[in-house]
Amino acid sequence: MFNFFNEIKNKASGIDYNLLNEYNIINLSGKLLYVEGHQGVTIINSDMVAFKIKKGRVVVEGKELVLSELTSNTLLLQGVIIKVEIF
Amino acid sequence: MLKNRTKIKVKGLNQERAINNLSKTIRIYNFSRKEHNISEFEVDYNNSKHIKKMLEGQGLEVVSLKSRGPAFFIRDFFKRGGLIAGVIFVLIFYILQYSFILKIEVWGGEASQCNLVKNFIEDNLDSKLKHNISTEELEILVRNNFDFVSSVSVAFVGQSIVVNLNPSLLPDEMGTGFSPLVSEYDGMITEINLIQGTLNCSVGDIVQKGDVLVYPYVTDSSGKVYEVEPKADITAQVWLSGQEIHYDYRILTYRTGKSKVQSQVLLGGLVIYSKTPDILFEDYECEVYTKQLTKNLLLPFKLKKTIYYEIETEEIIEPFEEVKEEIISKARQKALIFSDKNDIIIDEKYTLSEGGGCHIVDYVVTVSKNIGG
Repeated sequence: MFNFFNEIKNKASGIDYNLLNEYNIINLSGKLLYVEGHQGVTIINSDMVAFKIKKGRVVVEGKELVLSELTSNTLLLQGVIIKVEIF
Repeated sequence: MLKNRTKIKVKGLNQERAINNLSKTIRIYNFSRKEHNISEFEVDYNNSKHIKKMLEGQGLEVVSLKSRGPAFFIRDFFKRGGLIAGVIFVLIFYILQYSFILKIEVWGGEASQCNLVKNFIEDNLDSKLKHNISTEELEILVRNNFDFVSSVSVAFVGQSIVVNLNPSLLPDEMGTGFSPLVSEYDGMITEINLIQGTLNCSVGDIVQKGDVLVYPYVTDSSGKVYEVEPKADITAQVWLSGQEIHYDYRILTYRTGKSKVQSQVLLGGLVIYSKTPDILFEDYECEVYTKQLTKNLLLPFKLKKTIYYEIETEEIIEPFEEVKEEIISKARQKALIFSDKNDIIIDEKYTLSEGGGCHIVDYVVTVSKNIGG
């Protein structure tokens, strides 16, 4: 079955394939943010969403942020994505 | 952890829409989806009052709503009687046991000294309660009972009594086993300069040789007796006497310097070997020496030496008047044998007595000298 992320990983050279399986974040034109591999949302606010990932934390800043979809390990964020920071 | 928050568990469909609406006005923390239709999240306690209505307005069922944080911890604590009773019990137990002394530590001296003081304090503690123990009294007690302690400090540290000793360093003049200062001469005391010790005489006293002049101790204002080396400059008038007897007619016997030696080896009184020279002296006197030749008790050989000295006898006729000054001088010299070079001669005199063909000169020198050693 075709997997978009696996295809990209296969094209990467010099990086261990197994090390690229912690989380995936895709920012679509600054209006949609898709996250795979989150480990719980810590803050939800219209201008900030934060969530835990393996060995860290991600803070998304924006405007009119809306949680479109949320499962135990994926989330889809809609709104004006200004900044995505990983700590 | 230090903020008061309310944890909410909700049940229902389309939770994202409700959460999004909620997040526009309220900050949501630690959102987690337990099941497809059950979620859990936290909000600040201040917002918790209105949130139930808001969630129910969004079509979600609030399953549970629980506040937590320091304020709620304290509130919950005071609702738990058993816990409060336990804490109070522990506090009372701690306060009570803190009032007791469990250990005595002694620092500052040698190990043996520390053990002595420790045992002494243990024996003298009437109570283990701190309130009944006076550190000042303990300090005095230790100081008075141990000579090797010059100063001491006692303090409570936790449940211990800590005793700090400063061992006393006795000066050379202090110590034990000193002998009293005794008079070395017969005389009359004329001056006393006591340096240390306890005086046993006063000016004008007539003391004999061997009398105690200064005792080897001092007594302080509290009545405690300390041993010290007795020291004093005690000056006395001392009478030194010498006697010379002169015979007008006398027979003088003296050795000429010639001698002969007889050697004998003896075994149990039996003469084994003998070497006897010819004794041709007209008059002689002899001295006999005996010594063991071996240390073998089975055969106790002895060497016996007899030395014969030749002597001569001379008859001397010497009237006293001819040698009077010489005899007096000899008597004076005999008297001055007992004086030191630092002695001050105050007076000297002699007496003459005659009888039975002889003259006796008694010479007395009065000197001022230190008799205190």
